[in-house]
Amino acid sequence: MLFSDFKKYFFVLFITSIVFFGAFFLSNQLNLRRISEVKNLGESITVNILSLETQFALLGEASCKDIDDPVLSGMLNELAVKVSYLEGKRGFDDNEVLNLKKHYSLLQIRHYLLMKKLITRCKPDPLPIFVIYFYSNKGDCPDCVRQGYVLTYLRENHPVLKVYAFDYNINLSAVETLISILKISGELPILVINDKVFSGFKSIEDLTQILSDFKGFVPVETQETEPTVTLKPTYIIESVSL
Amino acid sequence: MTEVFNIVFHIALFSAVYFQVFILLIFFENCQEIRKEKEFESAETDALTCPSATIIVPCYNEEKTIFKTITSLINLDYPKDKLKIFVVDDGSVDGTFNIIKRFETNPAVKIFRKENGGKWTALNYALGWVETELVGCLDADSFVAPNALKIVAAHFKNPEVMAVTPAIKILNPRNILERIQNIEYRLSIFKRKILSFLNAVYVTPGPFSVFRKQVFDKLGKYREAHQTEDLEIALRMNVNNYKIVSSTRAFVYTVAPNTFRGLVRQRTRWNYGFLKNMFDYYFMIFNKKHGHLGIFILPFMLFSIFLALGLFLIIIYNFIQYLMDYFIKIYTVGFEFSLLNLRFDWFFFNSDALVFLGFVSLVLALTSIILVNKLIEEKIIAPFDTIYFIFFYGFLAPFWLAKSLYHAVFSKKIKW
Repeated sequence: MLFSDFKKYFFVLFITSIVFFGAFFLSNQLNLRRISEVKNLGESITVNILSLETQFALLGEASCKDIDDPVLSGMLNELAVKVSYLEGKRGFDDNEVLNLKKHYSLLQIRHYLLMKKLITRCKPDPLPIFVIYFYSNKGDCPDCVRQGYVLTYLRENHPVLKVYAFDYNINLSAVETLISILKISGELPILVINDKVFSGFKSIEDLTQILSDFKGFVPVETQETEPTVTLKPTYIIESVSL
Repeated sequence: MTEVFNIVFHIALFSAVYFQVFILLIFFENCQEIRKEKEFESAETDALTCPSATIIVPCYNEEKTIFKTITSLINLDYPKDKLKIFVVDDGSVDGTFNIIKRFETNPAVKIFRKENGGKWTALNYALGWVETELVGCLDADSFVAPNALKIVAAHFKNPEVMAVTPAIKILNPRNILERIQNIEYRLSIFKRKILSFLNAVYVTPGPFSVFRKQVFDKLGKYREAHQTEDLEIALRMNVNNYKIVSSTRAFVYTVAPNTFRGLVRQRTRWNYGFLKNMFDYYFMIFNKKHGHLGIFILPFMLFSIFLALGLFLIIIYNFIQYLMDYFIKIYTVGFEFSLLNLRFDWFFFNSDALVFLGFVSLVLALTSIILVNKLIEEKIIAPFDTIYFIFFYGFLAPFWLAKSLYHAVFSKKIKW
């Protein structure tokens, strides 16, 4: 074989490498844009929560009807879905994803605290039911995926439920404090429903049974065509698939 | 596991893109050559200078097609005094011989009958009687275009050329399997042409490959070669630096298997033959003495079998995973489908590098299909056949690749 023949192989290798690295570059650029978009979304939510907290502090008890921000709910939902997507694509151990998840967890805690304040002061009817869900995606919780499906389903059908999902192993002091305050122990998945801890997988039927003890929860089969809930589904986090 | 899958996926795509770029580069490098070839293939041939040729038709239980096959040879636009047709009945037990006998009065046709011994024995039997300059073979399920032999003969004006392979097309592709093969065969014409430019044609297909008789005189006749004697003779020729070229205009039409079982059986036989011959001709692999064939083509062909299987297994694994997740969801919360959940957001567009590479590979494959249509002056573009080929071929091939690999590794014989 002549040297020119070998040159052909190197030339093709060069072109293929350009195509290959071009594909990786393009993919990486789009991923960076995604991360940047999620970060911006997180920032917007922070500003919104701060604004809401400030508004609440300024106006006091008399202004419960004004404290309602449908945009914030939508944004929190979008953030949850997008962080979840990135986690699926880039992996659980990806630093960027972990940082975004930590930010999202903090926002959830702040939102949860704000909602608690809102309920104490405004006493909406029916009272929202807080579900705090602890999961793990380290492979030590085979039922967490199913629990996520159940919670998503119930939350979609019961606007009175407000679900906050936290990675049990996220290594974030705020989440660790939450775990310690709520006295979390036992087998994952763990659900905390209005401060009461439930350990292990709970099916739709199990949870419907548990939730039926709470005022304001109307099982699907007994719901009227128009939900009787007066509180707008403003503060509901749409996705619990994280 | 996922990491391993990712690596295999990347290697497979890199190899596929590399091969496609290589093929296209060789094509564009030889555009001038293709134009010249078209001119000399189309030039009027003087009957006096036409080399004499014998076409051997080995047949075994081919009563459905043999009449048409012989008729297509008789109808060849070639000087009658320079064409012999040897039909060898390899011990058929159906009505094949009775049909062949209808041609015994034709002076160009010579009929032989022997005990069944396989295609290569039938070819060798007839080779003993050949006295012409050229000798070709035509499978009994294939039919030649009237000008095919003239075009093939034109290539033999070059004294270096020792064999010419034809451009094989599928006869009347009807069902989806035949239509997939329609595109596959077109791409094979393209691939063989490229290999021809590289002096790396490693198979002289049964349907109408034509040789100088001296090939058999000097290198010996066909051998029992794991039912792929057409591959073995080509490898033997390459080892001896005999030039094999491919024509893109000497058309031969062949009957393609129209059932999945038939297709898998045929391709398993071909692929098994390739693998076994690779064992026999292992010394060619990565041997620069054998040029592009040894350095790149044969190793790549071998490598691509494993890559195609690996890729297929990964796709199946991922699909099963997806299905399992889906069933777990249905089992947990029941089936729900809402159009309201469908929304477009660029964020969720799959922008993995693999997707872009897959897209590049698809574009390169489509470019090859367009180029081959132009090359063979095909008026029927067959867009649906192309779609079927792109979407389904990758899922069909692993069946015969896996089966032939199993048979080759465990030395299990393949039935015809």
